[in-house]
Amino acid sequence: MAYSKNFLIDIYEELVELRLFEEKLVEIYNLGKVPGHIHSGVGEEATYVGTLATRKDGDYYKITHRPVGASAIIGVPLNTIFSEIMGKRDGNSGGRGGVNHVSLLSKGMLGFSGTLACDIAVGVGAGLTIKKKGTDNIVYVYYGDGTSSRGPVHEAMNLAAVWQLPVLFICENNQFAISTHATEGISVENPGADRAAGYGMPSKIVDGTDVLSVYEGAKELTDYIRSGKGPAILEAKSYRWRGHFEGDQARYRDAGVTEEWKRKDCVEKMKKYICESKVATQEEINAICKKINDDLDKAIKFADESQSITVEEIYEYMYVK
Amino acid sequence: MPRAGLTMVEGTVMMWKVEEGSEVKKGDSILEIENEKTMIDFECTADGFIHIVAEPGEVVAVGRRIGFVAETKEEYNELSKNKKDFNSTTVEVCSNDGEISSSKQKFEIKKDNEIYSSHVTNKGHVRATGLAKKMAISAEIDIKKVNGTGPNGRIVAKDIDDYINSMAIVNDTNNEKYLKPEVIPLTGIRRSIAKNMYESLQNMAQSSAAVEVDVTKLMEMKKIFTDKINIIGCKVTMNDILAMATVKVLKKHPLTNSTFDGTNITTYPYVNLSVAVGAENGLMVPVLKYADKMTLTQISTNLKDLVERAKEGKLVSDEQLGGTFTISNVGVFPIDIATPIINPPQVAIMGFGRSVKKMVIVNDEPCIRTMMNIFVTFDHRVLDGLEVGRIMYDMKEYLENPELIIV
Amino acid sequence: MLVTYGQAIGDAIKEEMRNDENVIIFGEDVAEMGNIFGITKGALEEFGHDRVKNTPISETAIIGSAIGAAITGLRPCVELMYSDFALVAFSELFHCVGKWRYMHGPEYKLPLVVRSAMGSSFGAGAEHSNCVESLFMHATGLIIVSPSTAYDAKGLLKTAIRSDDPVLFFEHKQLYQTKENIPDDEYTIPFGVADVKREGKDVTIIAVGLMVKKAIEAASILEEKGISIEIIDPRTLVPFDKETVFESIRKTHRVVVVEESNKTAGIGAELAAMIQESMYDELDGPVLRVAALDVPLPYNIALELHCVPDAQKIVTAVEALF
Repeated sequence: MAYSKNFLIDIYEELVELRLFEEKLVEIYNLGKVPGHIHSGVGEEATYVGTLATRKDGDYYKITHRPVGASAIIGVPLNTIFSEIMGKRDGNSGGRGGVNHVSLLSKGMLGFSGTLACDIAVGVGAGLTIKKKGTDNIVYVYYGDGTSSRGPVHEAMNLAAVWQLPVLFICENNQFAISTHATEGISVENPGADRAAGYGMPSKIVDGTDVLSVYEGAKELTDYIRSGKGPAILEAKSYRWRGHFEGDQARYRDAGVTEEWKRKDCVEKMKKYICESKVATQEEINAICKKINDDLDKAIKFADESQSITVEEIYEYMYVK
Repeated sequence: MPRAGLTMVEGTVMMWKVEEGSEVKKGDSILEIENEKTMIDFECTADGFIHIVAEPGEVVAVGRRIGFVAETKEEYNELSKNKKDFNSTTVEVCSNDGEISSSKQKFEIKKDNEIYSSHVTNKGHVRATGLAKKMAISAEIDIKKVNGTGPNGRIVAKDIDDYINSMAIVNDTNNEKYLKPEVIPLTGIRRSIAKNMYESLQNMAQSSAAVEVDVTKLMEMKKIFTDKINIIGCKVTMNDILAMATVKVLKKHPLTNSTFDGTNITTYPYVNLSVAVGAENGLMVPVLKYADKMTLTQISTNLKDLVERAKEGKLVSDEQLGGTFTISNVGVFPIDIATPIINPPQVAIMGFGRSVKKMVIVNDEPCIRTMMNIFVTFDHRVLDGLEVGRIMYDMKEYLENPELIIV
Repeated sequence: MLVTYGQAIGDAIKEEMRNDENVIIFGEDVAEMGNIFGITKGALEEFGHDRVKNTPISETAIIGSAIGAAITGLRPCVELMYSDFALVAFSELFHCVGKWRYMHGPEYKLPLVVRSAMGSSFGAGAEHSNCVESLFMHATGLIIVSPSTAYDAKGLLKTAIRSDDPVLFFEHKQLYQTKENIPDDEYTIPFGVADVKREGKDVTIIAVGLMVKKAIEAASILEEKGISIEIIDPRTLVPFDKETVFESIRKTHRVVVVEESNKTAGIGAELAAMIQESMYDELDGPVLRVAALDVPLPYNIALELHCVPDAQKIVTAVEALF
């Protein structure tokens, strides 16, 4: 597939943004600025960037706890994101929801359920709205290999297929449900793709460390879905670089294997590609990184200075009225 | 001290893997930390020169400094010279924590409930409902003295009400004003009434008799008089008709229309009818003089004047003197029969009770009639039962056939 | 017009579907069959498959997709058949429906209604007879409606469908065939307004759903015994009309709560606690509860009737207050 220079630069920028975002998240977590716990998505950037490169205005997104930075790619302002992550007033729910619930409906984000899999059908419901409106928009529903074992995933996929709804299910197969490896918890080799046949949906398996592979698979399936043929499943093979949450030292797995996967770094791979194909110079790349870093630091400073909501505001947002 | 896990609040520095001042790179494993669950391998977060603050074995709270990474050697030298206590300044851990914990939910207790704290003692629990306790407090009652009649002997609101009522009797009977009788000296009219009544009973042989008469027709006649008031010109009352009937009977029985001084009986050719009037100041007995010469309307007019003036205390001195017989009509009260005391030196007094509808037998058939008792007290020294029987017979005839009265 | 409770519910749905193109219904067997009780009969014929949809046996997907449809602009009025099945989707209802707006911010509105049939119905057994309102009263962010008459059911369901907040709407199976004259003209009933079903002065009975009917029977028996009963039907358990209840207690000073679900940690437990916290000094006796026995509801009908409250059990409870 031939790509325009701008497309490749954009893709690379988004990869870098997501990488640096996820690293910053770990940093501010270590500094004690984040309540609760975080799930770094370092190393898994390509799945999001590659699929989201196929998005159009009016599409909907159901992301997961990893990587939270995907909300930035989708368009949520960094100030909003970091404020929510730090539990502050300027977050999308004023710090009531937190790191797992960074979301803006105006950007098409549907939200996330901390009880995994309960939100897969939320994406299906948004598909119902699109179908009723009759547009060619679609819903991107991300879930992990761990979540794929839950019943509601089956119910949601079956319903989407029965109703022929425009939903792309993206199985981000990073091989771990906390400490349990996919081979221990999942009966098939490909928890996304192998199960598609059970719903009569098409599926693709892509290399989650190669953003262009992800994009190409996603393009094929989203074109199919946008043409009104119903849902599909994309499975991206990747690897969770860090522990499930910060502090998880991941001693349950072979460090050698982890190192092997780290060498398949999707950001490095793309950097090499655009340098070799002369899309961008090292100086241009450095400038991109610096700008993103500065933007992230500014947003973190903003969120740091944002206030907490008052106790009187605790009950707000429970009901519309 | 990095946060490694949801519940971690502090960690122990186990081992620095690098030496003080050495150059480190971002991502290098530089330190081992232990928390309550696990050993944590700490990766350096920046490139530079390490300056160690927390020594191995030190327990450090999450967010407090364990070391610096100086960007340059110069910066490192500057840092390592200043041996100040870096941990005296705290890095805020989730700056909102303090704000939230400072406003812990308070359990709201209504003011009304607080008053119970003084009432329920440590010594003994009083089994009573909330309402009963509230009522007891507001009525200033010691609830322990109240008897509980609710389920399981619980004191309920009704028990407090009952207690308050019973206390009201006790309170009243303990009241000095309540206990002090009022002494009213007998004076004036009351004194002469008392003397007359007492002497009457001491000096005569008084006996009584009574009969029930059917006054249905009498009432009908009285109603005609009332309805036709504009034709007869004055309001004729039951009392007037009874007075007229009495006068008729007295004319037939002169011994009854008499006075007795203990030696001689004096009968009178005229009837001066004494009429008992209940005035607020005491009994008045004005005399309708020469009543036997009067028509019913004349009786009515004169009697009305006397009665009104008697009630107002405006009778002149001799208007209560010279009576030959007395009547007393108590029919306005719920009194059926009384035994009036003779007005001396007269020899008899006649009274009239209230009129009531009753089921009576007439011609062997039950029917509803208006009935009234007439009763007489007579001086048995002068009159015998025979004479009284005849008087009652005639009186009954007149009242049951009222047209005879006006013949 | 004289309608059954079931017809009133069906009419409310159809009227609102005519009022607003975005109102859709889906659930198990709601289309051709018109739901297993015939409540949505006629909807498919009038509004077509785009707005009246059968679903597979998928409670979690019904609730999950209702959330997604609601936040993106539709007004789904979905069905879970038996309220017992709400527990299959308990996480979706408790965590997602009840907390979604709170967690994600004020852009998110959840104008969705979850209807389900509840209560004992002569041998439906331990998994098809439950009244589960109290389980959801413990949740946050939900509105809980439990009507006892055709009039209330219609007015409250219309309000529910128009509400931008999520509503759990519980319909009692034994009430579906009860008839009532209701206005021909359109009307709605606001949430959080209790209805005094009978005025009295000695004892306040708070009753929900079918238990309102049982309380009315009990009140007639008690009237002959000289005890005057006031019956309050909260109609919506969340929000709960405390003031109407408190006003009644200031008059009667005695309270009995009647509910059909298990006694332990039920509606009565919550109301008794709430009443004694706020109204201790107005009470002339304990707040008593009449509720089902703490057993799975037996299949045997005689045993079932033994377990759930009836007029006589209510009479016994009221008499124990004197």
